[in-house]
Amino acid sequence: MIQTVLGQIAPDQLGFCLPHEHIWCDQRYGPRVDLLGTTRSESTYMRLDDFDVMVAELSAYREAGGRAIVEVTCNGWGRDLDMLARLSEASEVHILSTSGFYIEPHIPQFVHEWPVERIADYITKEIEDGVGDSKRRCGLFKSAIHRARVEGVELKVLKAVATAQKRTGAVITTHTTGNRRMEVPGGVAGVHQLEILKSEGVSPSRLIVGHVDERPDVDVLSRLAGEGCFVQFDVIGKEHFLLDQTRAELVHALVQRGYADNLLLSQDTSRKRWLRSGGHSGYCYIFEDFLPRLRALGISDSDIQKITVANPARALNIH
Amino acid sequence: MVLRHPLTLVTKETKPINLTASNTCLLLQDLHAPFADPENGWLARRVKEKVLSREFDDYFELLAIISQNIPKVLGAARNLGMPVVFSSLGQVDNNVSDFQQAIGWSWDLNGEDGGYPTAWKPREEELILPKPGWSALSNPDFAAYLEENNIANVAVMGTMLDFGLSQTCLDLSDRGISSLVVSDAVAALTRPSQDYASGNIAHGLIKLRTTSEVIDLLQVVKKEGSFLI
Repeated sequence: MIQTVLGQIAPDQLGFCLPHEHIWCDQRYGPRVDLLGTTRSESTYMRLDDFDVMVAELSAYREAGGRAIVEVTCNGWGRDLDMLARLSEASEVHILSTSGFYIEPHIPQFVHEWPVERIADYITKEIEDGVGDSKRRCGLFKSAIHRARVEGVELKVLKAVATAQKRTGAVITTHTTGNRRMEVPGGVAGVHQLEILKSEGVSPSRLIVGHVDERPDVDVLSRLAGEGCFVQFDVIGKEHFLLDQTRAELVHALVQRGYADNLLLSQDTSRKRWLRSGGHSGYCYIFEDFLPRLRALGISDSDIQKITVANPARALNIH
Repeated sequence: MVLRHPLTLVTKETKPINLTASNTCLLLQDLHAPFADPENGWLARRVKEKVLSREFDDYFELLAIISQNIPKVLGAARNLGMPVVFSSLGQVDNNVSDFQQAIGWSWDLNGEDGGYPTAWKPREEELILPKPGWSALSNPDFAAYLEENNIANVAVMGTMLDFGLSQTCLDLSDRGISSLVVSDAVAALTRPSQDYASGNIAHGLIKLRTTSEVIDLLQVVKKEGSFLI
């Protein structure tokens, strides 16, 4: 079963899914300074907080064919399961919320202080019992890093997530940060995260390696897929990392290599300027721009269906 | 976005370059096979292997443009008797630099990676220097060559404008040597980077002129012995 903010659904009810997005978040809850120590301008924060706007964006996504979205905002910068439930009801889009934690600057203080086991208990409850008074349940875990290696409190979170994953069966999605990517062997920290998770007894098939399209190496991604991980191209549309045509050609190459069952696609929408109301394509970009690129390269509709429907359902199925 | 360059507001006016056939050399930097062979060079092969060709479309388009212009300037310089120097990232005798180890680019210039496209193949008498870092001056032999030959100006063509060529021009400035960058015979990795790098270095001792302008002025030098730029 898949656990949405409105309750459990069968995997075949999920439909077309963007597995790494933000719908309701406010990064102002995180650090107020950037890496140079200067105060950030308001416009640079990831922030989505207008109910009517978000209903319109989600409705447009549904109209384009979208049926589900994984909301990966974690505890620490504005996660609100009750709000997500309202948005899901209003838009008729399945929404999954995420347990675990984002990068270190956004990790709540108690995580720094608690031992791994207690953190694991805490996030296990978010999957099994629910969050807050309304007890709405999360559907997956997140682990994130903002350095070139998994270390410090982020390593602690990963180990807690590993423990909770084994208890619950929920999948782990990862943030593998971009600004230190040049320092990461193979370009994606998922390799290191996978090593740690395997040593903790987590099956590779329960790991979604995120942000692989910020500095991709097709051979490293093939190895991750070969191990059984989900390889997630999830910053589609953000061409300052990589041209979308390159993304499409990489997806094509991985399909050709036999890894269609391991691929996921998403956009990581997190700022108002990327929404339809902000003059961009919002959650519909994948339909309007990216899928046509895949089709033009010869990727079959059945493979696209696999990548956008069957794979998310398999990944998000709690078992 | 329009880039401002306020540095020039508070520096002296650029002094003219007095160009003669003997006080100026023509530098061809990073125009060897790894960067300049669009079919079989290291970069071309690598991006194909890694399914990253689209990321380098700008570069190979710019390379195609400069490939038309480089032979023209090279021919005019040779015709004038101006010395020509090739400076190419790579090593001889397995002497891989710290920089090369860091970036993972170690090309044996005695092998295929030391080859050049036919259109600008070095002549027997022309100096070919391995380049262990971004700048041509990372090889001290180039500095010695400039000093021994009283070179006051270096006309520059090549690839990696946004990294190596910019660094070479700035290092030449540090030595009081003027650079004449042939603006349509240099290629950056992307078009925005081409614009940025060109605009960013064009001050002080560094000037940019097009291929046709450079050919015209070399013809004047041939007739009159010198030219003020």
